[in-house]
Amino acid sequence: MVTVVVSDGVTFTMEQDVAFQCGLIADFAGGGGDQEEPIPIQAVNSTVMRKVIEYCEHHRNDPPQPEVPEGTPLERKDRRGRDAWDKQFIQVEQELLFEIILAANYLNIKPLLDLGCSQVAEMMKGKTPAEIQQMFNIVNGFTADEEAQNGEGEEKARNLNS
Amino acid sequence: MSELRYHLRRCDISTLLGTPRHDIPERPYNLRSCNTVATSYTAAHLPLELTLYIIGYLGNDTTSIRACYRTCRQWYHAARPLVFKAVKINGLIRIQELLKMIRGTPDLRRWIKEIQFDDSSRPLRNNPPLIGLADRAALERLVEKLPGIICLDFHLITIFIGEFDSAFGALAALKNVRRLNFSRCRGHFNTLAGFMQAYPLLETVSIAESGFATRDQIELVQHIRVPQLSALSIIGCTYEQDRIRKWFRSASRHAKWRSLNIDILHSCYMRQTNGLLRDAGPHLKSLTIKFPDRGPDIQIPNYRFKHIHVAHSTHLSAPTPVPVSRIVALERINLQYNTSIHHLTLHNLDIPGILTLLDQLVTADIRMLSIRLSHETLAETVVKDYRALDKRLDGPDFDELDEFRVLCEGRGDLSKVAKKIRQGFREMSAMDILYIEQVPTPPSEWVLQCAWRCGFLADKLSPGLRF
Repeated sequence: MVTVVVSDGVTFTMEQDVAFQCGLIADFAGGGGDQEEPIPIQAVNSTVMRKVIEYCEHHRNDPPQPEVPEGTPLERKDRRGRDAWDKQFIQVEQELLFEIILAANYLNIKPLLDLGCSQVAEMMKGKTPAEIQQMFNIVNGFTADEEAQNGEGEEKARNLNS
Repeated sequence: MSELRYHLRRCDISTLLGTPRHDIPERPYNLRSCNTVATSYTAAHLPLELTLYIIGYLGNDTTSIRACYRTCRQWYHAARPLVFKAVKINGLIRIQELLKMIRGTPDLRRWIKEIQFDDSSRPLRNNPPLIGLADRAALERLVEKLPGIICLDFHLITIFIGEFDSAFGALAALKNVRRLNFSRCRGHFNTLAGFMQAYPLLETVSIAESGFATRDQIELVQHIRVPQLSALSIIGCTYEQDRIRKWFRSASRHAKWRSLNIDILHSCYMRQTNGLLRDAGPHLKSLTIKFPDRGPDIQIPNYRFKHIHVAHSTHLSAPTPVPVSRIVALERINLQYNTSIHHLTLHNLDIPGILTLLDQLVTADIRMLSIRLSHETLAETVVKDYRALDKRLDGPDFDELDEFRVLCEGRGDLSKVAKKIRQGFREMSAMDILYIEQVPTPPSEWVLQCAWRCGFLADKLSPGLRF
């Protein structure tokens, strides 16, 4: 068994095959037997950690993902890992979604990172800049000059593609 | 371990954006010693590396990528390389514009990864070539500025005749090209061969609705060495069977084919398909084959396929001898002894046809099954038929099935069709995932016939050229 303690002091104990899906925990434990001392996970809170453990428990029996050769473009990688359970799992509040992405990145769980990032990309598809800003509560931050320059740049890009 | 994976992730992003690895921002903090507590995060709080990763998932959706470009400052920097990833060249003026832009924004040299030569906007009658010999110097200058191009796409280049020393010969200097696509082009086969010869890293060649004349200079083709070439797609083209076979056999000595997509009906008229598949070698993992209900049986070699796509009803048999009466009785498909097919796509077979086929299928290893039908057929199919298929897939032969897709071709209300399909597939559990997607209709018979007629007409007009 592996025990971790998260930022808000909550302790989680999980089986080794669940815990070792997190690259960071596997590194801490050194791939050996039971870990006696709790591993501090300071960048993740208990709400997010619960979701992460739920994901890892569901995928504990998945075969290991094949190594992607260096230089393989993203679009050619297999993205089939997103089954109905995954789709349901990732339907969460936006704030939690971004926390899950950050946690997956921090804990080094690539399939969960892929799942979260593809979900955000799905949300963005077909939206205008204003709609994306509104959806994700992003402040534009461009000056009027920059805005005009970006408009020109976009126009150039559109011309180059058409 | 953690560092290695992080390193790989950065490599992925680097490849995607075409930037050298050192240009990806370093990890913002040491993860092990990080004390930041995740609270109240939004998209704007994501580190740049994750923003890049997310935008990478937009693929070729240029509209969405351009929207990201104008969303905020951070996203602007992340999306900019993707916005300029592909450029279209439709004449000398565009080359000059592009050279001017590169002078103004040198970063474009790293960002541009794909060039499409497109002649679709001009009338077809007696035009000078899109890029003439006189324009070669300009093209050479452009090529010099864009050494990182990995994909060349030629669309509707109808005057592609000539050796590789034509204006397009300037492209030979692009040594990083990995993908070559020709759609609705015509020209000399040696031009095609010359392109293949020029790129040592070439991995994929796709030729659609195109014709390349061969004359008698096949010898050049036989000396092609393309060690990385592993995927070939020929759709709707008119080739002389002996020539293409000879080239393929020659190429197969050096290439380890992983993927073949051959439209036999409209492309090659190959009676020697079985020999072609034997030449392909045991590395073949993916095969898409399309041919009509006539001709000899196609023998699928007993390679360890991961993916087979069979379009229309077919005569298909395994290499192990099967009683002739059985093949005749099947009339559809027999994939006996190919037990490692993981992914099977059935195209244009109605549900009763699929059920007949599945009854003959002796393989218990199918993990992903796709059926591709027109919207009309799907709309006409009754729930009862779907239930019959659902019941069949619930049987022991499909223990390994974990994904089932219904691909709906053409326009029409997908929601109504999807509702009916979902009613039919009650047994689909979480392990047998049902996807219903709308996909584009493939080129019509009319378009393919036109491509064939073009070749035929050229043959009549120029007897020296054989398409």
